[in-house]
Amino acid sequence: MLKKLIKIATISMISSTIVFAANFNAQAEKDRKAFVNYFLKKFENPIANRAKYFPYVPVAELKKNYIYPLKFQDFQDGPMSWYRPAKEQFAEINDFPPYEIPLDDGKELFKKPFANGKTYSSCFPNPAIKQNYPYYDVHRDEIVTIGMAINECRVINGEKPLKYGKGDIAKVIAYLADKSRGQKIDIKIPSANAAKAYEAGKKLFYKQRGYLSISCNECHVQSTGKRIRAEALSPALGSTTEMPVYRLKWGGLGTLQRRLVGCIKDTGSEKPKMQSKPVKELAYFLTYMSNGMKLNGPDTRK
Amino acid sequence: MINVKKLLALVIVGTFSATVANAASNEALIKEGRKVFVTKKLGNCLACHAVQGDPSIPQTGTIGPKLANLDTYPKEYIFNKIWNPNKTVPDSVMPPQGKSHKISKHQIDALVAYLQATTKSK
Ligand code: HEC
Ligand code: HEC
Repeated sequence: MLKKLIKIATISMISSTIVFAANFNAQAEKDRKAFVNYFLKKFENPIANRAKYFPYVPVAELKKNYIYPLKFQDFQDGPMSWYRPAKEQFAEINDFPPYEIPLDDGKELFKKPFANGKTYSSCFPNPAIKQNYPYYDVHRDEIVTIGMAINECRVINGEKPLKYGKGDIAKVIAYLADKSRGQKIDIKIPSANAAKAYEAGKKLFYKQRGYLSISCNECHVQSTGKRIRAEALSPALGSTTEMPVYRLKWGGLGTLQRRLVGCIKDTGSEKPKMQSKPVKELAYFLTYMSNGMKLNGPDTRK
Repeated sequence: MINVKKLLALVIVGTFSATVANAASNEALIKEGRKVFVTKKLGNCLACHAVQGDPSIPQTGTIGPKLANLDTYPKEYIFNKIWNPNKTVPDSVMPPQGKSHKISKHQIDALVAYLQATTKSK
């Protein structure tokens, strides 16, 4: 009898722990579903739903230049997902992808032994792991980005850390991304503090900032599917799948953090530091929103 | 003693040249307004708006409405919209460039002059 009671108590304890654990991402899942739904609806039929989503875009432009309906995975392609002129231009460019040379460099860097004879494989025995980054490390109680993981690997092997954002670090990330190509983004929210970090990132995404008093949301949700000058605005859904990205404007590879810092600066705000807490939180939120999407980086952008 | 005719002539000439000067300075204001509209470092309005009556502005964006018939709007409405669009449309994507001192009151006056002169209702 007592045994039975204990058994019941134990089972209910375990199951309540499971329920509790699953609860950390309850809000995030609700947000994500609404997010995905917004984009699917917006690009189901832009002409029929013009008044709701594209009131100021001339009908002729909708007819000529818009690609629709878009499916979940289609949003991986940024501005090329919906804007035909960009898609056509980039199909040509990606006949000979400009990221191939830095990707080859990344492969070499990954395999080249450190001074102690070990390689990056000592930290990344399975390089197909990009779908899990950035992740919340419950023991350290902080967000760990893929750039941080690479530099920590270097430091424990007696090497100097690399500069964030571009150059060698972007090349090594490109190699890991390429090995993870096709994996589905799988960001977890494992603790109450992780949920707090997610909420902080969400707040940053929706906060109007800078002297332009504009938010990420206004450009990459509300204005997705519109042009700012000639620039077609990309959907926030899927906006981290292609990282690191070769930008023609940069003339080289750049990481997600480089892009985020650039967009924050464009709002007329002070440029935050890469790997600073707010930029990591923003990346954590943004990547979570694309959970379930397949990685396709490195890729090319304007 | 008083040469009324001469005085009258002087007054008329004076008024006339003032009108000419006014027209010239309004012309200058309109020109300045267009410059603020199309320059990235100034208003950068073309990022979001096309302008009825000025199709030569290259690559205007589609986030905001094509500006039209603004001669039928009160000047203050347009000024206030540019000063702080959130006042009338709280969730407007348009930035409050007057309020945040990115452009000056004089530059907004110039924008209003340009827009009212260019986007005429027929
Ligand atoms: C004033 C408009 C504007 C704001 C505000 C803005 N961005 Fe951007 N963003 C752009 C433009 C333009 C591009 C380049 C074209 C594109 O991919 O949308 C871009 C590109 C990006 C990309 C790359 C997408 C891709 O497919 O390669 C990411 C990620 C991004 N922005 C995130 C953000 C975040 C996060 C914020 C807020 C901190 C933000 N942006 C704020 C205009 C903006
Ligand atoms: C980032 C996009 C953006 C920029 C930049 C922008 N606008 Fe707007 N504008 C909008 C949107 C969206 C609306 C419609 C919502 C509203 O009224 O606030 C609008 C509305 C307006 C209106 C009201 C039109 C009407 O018929 O009621 C005027 C006038 C205007 N803008 C002028 C300007 C001027 C002048 C500038 C530059 C100094 C500018 N805008 C910059 C997006 C923008």
